[in-house]
Amino acid sequence: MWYKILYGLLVVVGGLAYGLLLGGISRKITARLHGRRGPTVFQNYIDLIKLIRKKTAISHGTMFFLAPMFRLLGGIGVLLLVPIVTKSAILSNFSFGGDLIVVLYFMVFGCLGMALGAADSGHPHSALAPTRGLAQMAGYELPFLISVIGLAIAHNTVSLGTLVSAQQGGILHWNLFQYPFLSIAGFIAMLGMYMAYPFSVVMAPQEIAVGPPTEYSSTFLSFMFTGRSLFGVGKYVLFMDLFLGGATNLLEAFVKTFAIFLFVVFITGVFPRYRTEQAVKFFWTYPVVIGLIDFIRIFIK
Amino acid sequence: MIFFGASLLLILIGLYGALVKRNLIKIIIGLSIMDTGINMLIISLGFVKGGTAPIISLKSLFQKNSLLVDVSKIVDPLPQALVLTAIVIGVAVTAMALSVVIRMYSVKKSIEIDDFKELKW
Amino acid sequence: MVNPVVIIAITLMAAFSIGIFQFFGKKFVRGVFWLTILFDFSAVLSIAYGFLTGKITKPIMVKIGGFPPPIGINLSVDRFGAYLAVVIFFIGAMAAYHWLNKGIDDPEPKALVLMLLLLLGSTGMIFTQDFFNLFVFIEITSIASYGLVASNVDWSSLEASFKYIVIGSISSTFVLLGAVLLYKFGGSLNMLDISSKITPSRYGGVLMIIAIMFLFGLLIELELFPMNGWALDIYQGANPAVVAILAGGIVKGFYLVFVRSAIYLKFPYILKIGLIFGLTTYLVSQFFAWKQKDIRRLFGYSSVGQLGLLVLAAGFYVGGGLQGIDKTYMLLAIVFFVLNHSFSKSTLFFITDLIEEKDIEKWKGVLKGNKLLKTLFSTSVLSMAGAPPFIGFWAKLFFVLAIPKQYFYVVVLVLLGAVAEIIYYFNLYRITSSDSENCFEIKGSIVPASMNTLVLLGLSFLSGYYFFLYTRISVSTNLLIMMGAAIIIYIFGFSRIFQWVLSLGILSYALYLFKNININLQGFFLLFILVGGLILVFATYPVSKKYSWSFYPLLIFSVLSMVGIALAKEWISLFIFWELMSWSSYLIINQGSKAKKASWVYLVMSAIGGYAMLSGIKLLTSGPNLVPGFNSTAMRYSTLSAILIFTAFLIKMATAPVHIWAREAYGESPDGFTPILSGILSKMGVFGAILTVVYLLPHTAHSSVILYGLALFGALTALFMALFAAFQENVKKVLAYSSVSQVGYILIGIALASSLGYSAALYHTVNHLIFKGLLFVAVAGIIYRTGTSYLPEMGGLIRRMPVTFLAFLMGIITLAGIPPLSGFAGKWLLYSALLEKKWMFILLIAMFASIVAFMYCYKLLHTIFLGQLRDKYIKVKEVPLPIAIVELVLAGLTMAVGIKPSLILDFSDKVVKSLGFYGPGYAYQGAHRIVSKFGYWNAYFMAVFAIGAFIIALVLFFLVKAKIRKVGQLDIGYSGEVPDSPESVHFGYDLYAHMRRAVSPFISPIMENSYKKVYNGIAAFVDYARRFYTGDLNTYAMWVIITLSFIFYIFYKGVF
Repeated sequence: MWYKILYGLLVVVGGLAYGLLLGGISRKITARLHGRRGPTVFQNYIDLIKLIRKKTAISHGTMFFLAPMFRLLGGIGVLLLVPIVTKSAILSNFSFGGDLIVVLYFMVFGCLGMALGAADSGHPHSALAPTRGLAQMAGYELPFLISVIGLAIAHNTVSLGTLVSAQQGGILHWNLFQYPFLSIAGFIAMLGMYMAYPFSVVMAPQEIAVGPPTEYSSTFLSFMFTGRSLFGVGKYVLFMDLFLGGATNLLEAFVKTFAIFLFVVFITGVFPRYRTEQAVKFFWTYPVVIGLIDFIRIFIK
Repeated sequence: MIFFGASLLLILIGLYGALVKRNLIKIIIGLSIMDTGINMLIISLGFVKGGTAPIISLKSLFQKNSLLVDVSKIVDPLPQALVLTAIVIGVAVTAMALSVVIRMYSVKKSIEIDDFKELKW
Repeated sequence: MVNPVVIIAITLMAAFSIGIFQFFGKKFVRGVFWLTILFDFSAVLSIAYGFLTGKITKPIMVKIGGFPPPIGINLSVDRFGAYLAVVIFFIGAMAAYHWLNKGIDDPEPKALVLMLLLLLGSTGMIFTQDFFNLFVFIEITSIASYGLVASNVDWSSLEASFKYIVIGSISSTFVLLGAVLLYKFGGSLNMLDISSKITPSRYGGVLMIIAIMFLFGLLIELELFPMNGWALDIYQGANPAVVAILAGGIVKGFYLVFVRSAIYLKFPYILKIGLIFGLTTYLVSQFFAWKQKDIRRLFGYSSVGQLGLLVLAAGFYVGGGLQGIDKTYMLLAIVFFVLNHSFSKSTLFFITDLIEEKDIEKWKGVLKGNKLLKTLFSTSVLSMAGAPPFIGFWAKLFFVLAIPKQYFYVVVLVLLGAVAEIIYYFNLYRITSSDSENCFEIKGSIVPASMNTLVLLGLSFLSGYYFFLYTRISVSTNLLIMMGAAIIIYIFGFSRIFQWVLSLGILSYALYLFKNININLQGFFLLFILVGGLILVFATYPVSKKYSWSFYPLLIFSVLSMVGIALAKEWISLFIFWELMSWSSYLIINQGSKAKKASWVYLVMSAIGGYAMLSGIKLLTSGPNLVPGFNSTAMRYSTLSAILIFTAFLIKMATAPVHIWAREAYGESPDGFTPILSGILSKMGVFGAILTVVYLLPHTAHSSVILYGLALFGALTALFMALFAAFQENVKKVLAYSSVSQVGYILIGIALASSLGYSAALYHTVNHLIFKGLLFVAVAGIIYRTGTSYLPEMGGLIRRMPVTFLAFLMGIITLAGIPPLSGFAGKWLLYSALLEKKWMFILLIAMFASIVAFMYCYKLLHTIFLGQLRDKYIKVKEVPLPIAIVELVLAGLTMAVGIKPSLILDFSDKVVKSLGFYGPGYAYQGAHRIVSKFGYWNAYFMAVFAIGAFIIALVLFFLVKAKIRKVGQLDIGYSGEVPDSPESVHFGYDLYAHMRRAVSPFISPIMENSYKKVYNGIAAFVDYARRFYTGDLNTYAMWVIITLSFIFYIFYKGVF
């Protein structure tokens, strides 16, 4: 039991390093796409260290204080619940027989924490962001659920481990190719989940400062930051497990998550932004229709 | 039979009066006619043509051969008794109706139905 | 025992001697009058008492003048005649007292003469055995009524009187015609004599015409549609005291005479008369009353409707082929209807005279001040509308049970009429119980109304006793005793704390009584109700002061009637307690200051549901088995009856197409009651739904379609209500929609009809009590402190109410189903159950609904507790202690169950087993692990995991160790400025404006509007249709003749 916790810590540290790196790469790529030089890929490490080294942290209240913990907890939780490398003692994490539904709900935990902290700051803009986020969430979750439920029914399981092992045996066994329409719906939903560009109104850096973390600074912000990075990695892994056949070794995991990451980043780089209701409407139409093709196929089968 | 028909006619005439006339007094008159018709009808029910009164007189008691009156010739006495009651009741109703009309007239100075349609729906 | 002739003779003598006595002065006349009434009353009472105790078994026959019948006239006093005479004299005495007390405008002695004549006439009418004599007594009664009706200050009474005279004369013409023709063709005037000469086979031709004429004359007096315009005018125009005695007593005399004549004449088509005229009258009047603005005419419509119902009942009793127990039931129904109407309606007419307002709108707030008046009015209205435990309810129940099954449509129509009746009666109640500045003075004595109500209460008790006696329904005496204890609480209305303690005591005692109950479906819900009730009632004390003194009695009454539902062994007793629950909860909801309209909608919906259930139960009964138990074998109708019964439960659960009452009723009901309404009361729908699905729905192919449809309803409910909740700005309305949405999940679980499904449903039932009880209780405390339930006015309360915030946060986490609290296990069970059945679309909608729910979850937390604290709430304190205790208890429960779901699942397992549904595919290992064939869920692990992760985060935080500086709430990065006031920067209104733009077509209240449209459509139609009563005498008379022609026509055509 105790070594599990140790492994967990290892995964968290590794995941954090990877997540920060991905963030840096993303900033770099986006900058290049925009014709800027952009910061170094290690910029996020620097930012994190800078934040941690700040001397004072301003607090607006109890919930404001607790929110970063919740955020971090959410990030750690999601990362540790998804199997990064199946059948690996360390990297299969705490995944268990019914983890798919758990992950879906646990993902909310961090967001909820962040949203509450933002609200407690007393800044109207930071409360605005969660409402946008929740609305958008109601948007992208529909196609996402279509693909998740479709896969669960198709493979008769709610366990990510089982889902991954069902996709073994060649690239064509991947759900990406087995259920292409479900996958398309899922990946479009993922763009919303990452608040990637057409759906980035939640954070909307230009209009409302920086969204939920408006009032956050120093240590608190560093926790938010860390949580977010971990959360991001967790979700990449989740999508890898769902659609790309999981990973049997660490390298495969890196390659696949990086591929998904690149997909997100490139789309982010080239799109303008939807308003919330436009995003919601978009999610409820095209990806849903696409996803339903496979969904109904599974239903009939 | 002619009584029967006539009384029915009277009832219908009275009914017509109550149904169609717009004047309160005329309606009461209609009701009275109807009453009369009924009374006549009752009488006609017991009527026997050429019959005698259903009275056993002292004289007839002492006549040997006709101790009892010819039963088939007796007019049924009950309807007559009923009619008396019915007439009394009819008068009472008419009186009551007329007194109500008097008070109605004292309120509105009118005895037309069209002026008494406050209570409705 | 007094010779009945003496009663008539003495009264007659007294009546005419008053003319002489008036010279001795007013007091003397009154003395004579009261002595006579007292004598008459005690005389008939002694006879009736003889019948009741069985000392007198045969009808008392009295020969007049020593001539034996058929030559002489004779009187006969039978059981019902005696009873009715008692009622007539009682109501007569009350009416006279009322009238004398108010002061008679006309010369008083004359009025007293007429009153005595009226009573005498009606008594003679009931007692006589001679057709012509009957006519005479009818005329005496009528003439006295003409006079009395005319004697009102209001000159419109003259108009009413004149109409009555004309129509009454026509009516008596027919009676007289019938009587003398009977003599001619039947050869006798004596009822028994004629009866022995008539055989039904002789019917046809002359006898038929005569019988129709005679009975038709009586039908006019019975105010049947379409020849009842005059009667309504009397109700509207005459003195209420006179109307009370007419409607409460005299008309019943006519009714008895009608029924008796029909029996003596062996009239074969009495049922047809009842079905055509009785039913039409009943339905038409109940609808015409909807838009009535004059209160007396409204009660008039109601009286006419009741008479129609009575004629219908007589039709069934005399000519409906009823036998044995059915016949007894119908007889009891008739007796109860008569008693109910006599005492309730006369009370209501007395009250209209006490208030002296005619326009209904001016009755606004009448009941606010006077406790006694409120009790009298409410009792009468409730009994008239057929609310348990009053006599009107038992009457309706007996009536429905007695109707033969092939006349099912009659049941449906009668119950439809009953709903219409509730609609207008409680529209009136809504007006009278609402707040108003109006000041009302009671003009007159309240004694008669109180006496009537006392009798009514006694009769209600008796009739309930008779109901249980005759139907042999088992009912827990303990429960009844405890319900009686609610009355004690009622009496202690002056001390709120005493009421509170007593209520808790009763509930604890109930819990103690049932502590060893067997855990099956009933036992599970019993414990659920009592434990939940105890916890939630505990929290009511601080907020209860805002509400009426009847808050606690009604509360206990509704909780105990839920216990009764759970203890019920037959459908019919379930129905009785169901109605008790609905009505008592209606009365509680009605106490909310803005809840008048909302509670009305709730009541109407409940009534529709309750009566649907009753008609469904009616379909289940067969032959001698009038009270089917739950296990009675499924019969031919069982799918239809299952659907009908299910309607009631769906309405109480407020799922999708019938949800329209929920928002306002939850939102405006008293704050102390809302947790119970949401946490426990709506769960009785769940209980019933499980019962129906298990016992009534035959498990065949087409039932699976029904079940799938139900699940779809449940899922759509869950989704749309969650969406609606996000756009509400009233905290209780948000939670209202939330409740309904959560119940949608439970419905899905039930519709699955699998072991996992039931487990999910039961688990979620308890879980919903925990978190929704918590949320509503917390909200009650917040409203108590801040005085507002409007979300945009709150904000920042976390600084003032940290305990409540903590509890509330836990409630929200549970609600959202986020692990590790107890909400997630329910979601997991439900989703597994759906996966097991492969109901993908339902699963999709259900899961999506839970995502949508996050919107309002966040909204609640943010707008109440976070953001900026307003200046006016700077000094707000933490919620009162009882509320805080309950919050913490419930928060502790959700944590405990979250770690150890077996706390609930142990029980629900037993229930699922007892239902015979323990299929494979669901196992449950140890205290924390639930296994389905798709995977497993370990609550304990999850809790440890979450806490562990949180500790890691916390440790990390303290490792970093920055100095934390607390700043003021307005100290925010605000474009370089410090905002002026909290209000200007609090984001609290219309949080999801963007979302609303996206979903605007879906959130318009389509259902609500269509219900409204239907209601308004019907109302507009009946408002127009009641112009049928033109107020024109000629038209009224014409309708009499048209009706007669119609009757002759259909007899001639042989339509029957």
